[in-house]
Amino acid sequence: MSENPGRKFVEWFKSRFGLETSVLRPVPEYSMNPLYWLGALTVIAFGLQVLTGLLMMIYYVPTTDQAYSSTLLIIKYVPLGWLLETVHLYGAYAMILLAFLHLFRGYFVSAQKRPREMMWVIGMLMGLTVMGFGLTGYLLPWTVVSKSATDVSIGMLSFLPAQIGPIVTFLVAGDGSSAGELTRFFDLHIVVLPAALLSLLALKMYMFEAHGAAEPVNGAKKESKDIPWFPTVYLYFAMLGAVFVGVIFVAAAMFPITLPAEFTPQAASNYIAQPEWYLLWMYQVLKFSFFEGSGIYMALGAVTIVALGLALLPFIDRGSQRNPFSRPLYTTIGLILIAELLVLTVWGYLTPGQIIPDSQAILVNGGVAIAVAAVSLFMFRMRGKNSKKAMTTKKSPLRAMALPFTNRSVTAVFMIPLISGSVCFANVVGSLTSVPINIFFVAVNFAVLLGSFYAMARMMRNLTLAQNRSPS
Amino acid sequence: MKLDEEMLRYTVAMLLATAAASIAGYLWVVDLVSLQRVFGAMLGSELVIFSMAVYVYLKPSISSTSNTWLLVGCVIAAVFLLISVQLGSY
Repeated sequence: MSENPGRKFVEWFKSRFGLETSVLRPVPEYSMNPLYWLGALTVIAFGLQVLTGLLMMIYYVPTTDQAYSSTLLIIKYVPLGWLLETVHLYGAYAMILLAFLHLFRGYFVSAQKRPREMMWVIGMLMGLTVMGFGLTGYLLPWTVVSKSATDVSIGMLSFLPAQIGPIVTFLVAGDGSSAGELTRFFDLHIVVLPAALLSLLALKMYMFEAHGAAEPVNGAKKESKDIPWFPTVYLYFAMLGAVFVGVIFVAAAMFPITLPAEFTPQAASNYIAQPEWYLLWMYQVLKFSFFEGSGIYMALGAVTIVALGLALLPFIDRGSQRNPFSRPLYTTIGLILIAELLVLTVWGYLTPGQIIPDSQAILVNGGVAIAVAAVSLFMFRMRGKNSKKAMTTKKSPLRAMALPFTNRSVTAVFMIPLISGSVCFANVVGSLTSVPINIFFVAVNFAVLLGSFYAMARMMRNLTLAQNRSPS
Repeated sequence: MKLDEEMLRYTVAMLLATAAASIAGYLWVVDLVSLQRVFGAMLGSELVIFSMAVYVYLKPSISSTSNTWLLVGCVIAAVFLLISVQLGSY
């Protein structure tokens, strides 16, 4: 049998560079799948951002009178400067999108479960840092679009508690002057956030080397063998990275960036501030009329509760089941979350600056949640019916009657949104029917909501039990 | 000459390497001032073709992959090249 022509060179390369003793653990064969590499692709996107950002820093001047003109110089007069700028922008979009995909894939395959709980929490912090990159980088071209949107975000800092609000506002935005704001955002974008992201990445990689990739939920681990990093995994990594960067370059060449008008107070007064697409969902929530004025605390509180719920998911969902088809409750919640994010984003894009009436907000958001839950439950039920064993297994009436949330922490997490939801719901019903809002009325709404959630949750519980009895 | 699977694999790899080398040569001599968008799109195509050459090298050691992905990758690379040519015609 003839020897592979490159083998001799590979052996030489391995021995001279000491690659036989790679610090990275071998990769299981089942993880040679792009879905397992979404986090790595996010890191590649970060590398691309660093490279293009460093090249743009040669020309960019972070002062209020030169930020716009230097950005324009890069786009119009520097050879391939428009490509750098566009690749930097699309790379940022891709980085945020990949971070979201990585998060939701991990959610559905239970990547957060033991022993990877802290990896999940670190990953959530990295996600926040990535969003911070988007927010701080958006201001730097100093256009009317970017400055107006950033001012809206900075305005939200004033709703932080009085003990920390002024300090955070000063650290992020300075003394209120435009120059201070731009300098701070530039520093955050090129020094503080990269340092934070790299530190968190190092910590996560250290834990990853200890725990390895999460096993596939279909139990394919048994037949899988380990693949050494050199040369196979390195090449696989290079292959994915090349496709990713290639697509970004072609997209940039097809749709090059155009710079909006420069920021001036006059231009800003005629412009409706709208954030970038990845923050549109939050922007839309803040436009609901019951969150107007002092209600903004409730809006920010609700968003914080959802984010905290996701960050602390490994300590809430402690069951041993990892297959999404065996976790109907969490799978349905995840699907609702994705649907709401998409709907709010599109809706925010279509209604810039419009205040959304309570009835519309409830109808759209509630309708989406109920529709997704109904489809999800229907699919789980069909799946349950298809399992012969699930059909024949006798159900325990006692277990079927039990509340689905036996875990105290889950019950607490469930009750908080239920109570705040009751207050909102009572407000809406009250405003539509002119019924006076009082404790009794809120209590009735609470009972109605609890009853409907109980019925839904019991159905899910029964489905889970049926699913657990069926063969995987 | 017997055209077995191994031979076919090397042929495809050679073809991809030739395409990548041709584009690299073109990018070296291209007039960057007048053909900036072509340069961007060609660079993207080059990277996708390179990844397909790597894929052909890796394929025997990864059981879960299939030729479908090679076909998809080559179609993407071809579309990207067409886009480059189209951008050059403006």
